Amino acid sequence: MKLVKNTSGRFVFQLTPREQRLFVEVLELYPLIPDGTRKLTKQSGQAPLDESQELLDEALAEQRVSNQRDLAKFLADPQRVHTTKSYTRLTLAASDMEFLLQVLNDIRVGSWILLGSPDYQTEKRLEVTQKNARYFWARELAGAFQSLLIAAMNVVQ
Amino acid sequence: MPEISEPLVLPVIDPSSKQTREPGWLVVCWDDPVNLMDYVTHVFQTVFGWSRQKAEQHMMQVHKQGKSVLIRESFEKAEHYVHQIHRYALNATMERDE
Repeated sequence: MKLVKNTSGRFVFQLTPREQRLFVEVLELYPLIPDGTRKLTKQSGQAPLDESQELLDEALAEQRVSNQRDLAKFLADPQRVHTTKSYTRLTLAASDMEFLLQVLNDIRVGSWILLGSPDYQTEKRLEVTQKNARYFWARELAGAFQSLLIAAMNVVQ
Repeated sequence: MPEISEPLVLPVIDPSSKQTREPGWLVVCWDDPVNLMDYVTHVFQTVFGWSRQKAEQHMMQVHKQGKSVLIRESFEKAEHYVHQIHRYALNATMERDE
């Protein structure tokens, strides 16, 4: 996947057929962060904070539903994608880039949580099994696509 | 002949006084070692409108020290920022600044 054009906040990427398949497959894993994972504060047990935790849970649940809907539209939108036999051209607006970064980081962080939130030391002892292999794959692939999108955005900064 | 104006002397404010310490909620970002450094920098720039240099300083603090206090704000604004950071799947909390 490479950036081929960047004009007026529109980014055009070229993907090989294999890259396009992987891009879609990894996006289809969204969402992966388990419900209730995110905490508003470490000072729980105080009335205003407990109420705000409920608000955060609701906001994140709404965002998840909205992102799933937008992602389905995104993946089905023929105007973004131009495919030939040898490559696919994907056109993204700046807002699409932000949206995809959020979705990809959910997949990356969610995969990591489902792998047991390994730190640098425990990572070395993690074994790839049939059960967890997809999370290793998703974590690395989501990170690779994130890096490509950020690098493309930094070209114009 | 031009008049010479008196120099403007600003009052000395004790940084630990209540006046300067209001509002009192800290937005803290915690290290999830899975997050990419460039991504964390990008999120700080986007959410707070910071320069790349300032965003990188906070990102490095998260990376090396496990957390960074990003901003001190009122309850409502701190809550808003924590929500924004969670939208990007980073781990942030708001803590009362005692």
